[in-house]
Amino acid sequence: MRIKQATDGRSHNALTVGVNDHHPRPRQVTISNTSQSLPPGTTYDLDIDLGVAGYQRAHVMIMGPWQPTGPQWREAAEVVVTTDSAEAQGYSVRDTGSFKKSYAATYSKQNGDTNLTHKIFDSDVSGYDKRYIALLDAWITGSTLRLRFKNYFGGSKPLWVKGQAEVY
Amino acid sequence: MRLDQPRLADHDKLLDVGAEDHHLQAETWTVQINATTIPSGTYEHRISLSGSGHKIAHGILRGWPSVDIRGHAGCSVVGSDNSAESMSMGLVSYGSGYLTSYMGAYSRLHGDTRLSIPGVFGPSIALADFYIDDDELVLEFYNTYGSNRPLTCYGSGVVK
Repeated sequence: MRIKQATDGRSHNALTVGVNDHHPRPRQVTISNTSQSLPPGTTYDLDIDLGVAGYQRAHVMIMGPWQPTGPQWREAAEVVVTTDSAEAQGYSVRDTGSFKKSYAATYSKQNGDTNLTHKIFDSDVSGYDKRYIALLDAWITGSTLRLRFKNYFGGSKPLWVKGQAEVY
Repeated sequence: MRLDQPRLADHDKLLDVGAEDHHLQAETWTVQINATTIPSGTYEHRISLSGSGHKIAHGILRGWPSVDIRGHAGCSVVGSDNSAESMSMGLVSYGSGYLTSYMGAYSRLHGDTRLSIPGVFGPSIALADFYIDDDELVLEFYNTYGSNRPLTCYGSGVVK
């Protein structure tokens, strides 16, 4: 007896295939900007070129400059990014001045938070609590992963961010 | 002039994608290492995947409970295929009798030589690297001590 393969009854030509059904291969991209100056109260969009449109999700790991005793104290954030909903969630790690004090926190745009991280991304490390630039939002648009930073200080501050993202 | 309707046969041209953009299904992986003795220096733990072609790996790794913190040390780690670049964040209590902790981010991509401090995956043992090598996922540990040490690492993740 011939064994018949299961089908869903549709012919080949009736299949609906859209752009969203064809997505590019997962890849890793580098994030680095240590030169951009942000005027008081302004935002800056750090755009990372993904090469091709169609990516739907990004998993971002970024860090700030502050590391009082080495990378084991480096401030950082991990963020999950989507496209149309522009929603993300992350946490940040920060030394609050003493080597034995630190905190971690979660942020969620979907649940009403203004920022996605604490203010950990300005290169002014002259004081442990002098931090002014936060990751405000993040999303994928076309072939670009966009990270939006905001300077909350009354003067200009230089951005410092390094990290990587996986997009898929 | 008659306009041609898009056809499946034109798929590659229409969407400007090629064979490289059609990749393997994502798959999960697990690691279970319980106090395995490793020598001083580098130790590789390799996990077989279903095939080559995966581009990104992500995992949550649990390490060694060096101090009673009602949990374990560990990290979230991401690696790619040929670049062997990774970054992790972790939380661990370390030291003896101290309620000390650390939280940190590490990036091979941006110059760090390891992905955690020593002591996360056993006494004096750090995660050194994390990457996809053809059809295997490689977890590279480093024993900074001068002789054998027990390695502990549990976890799971996804390769895509």
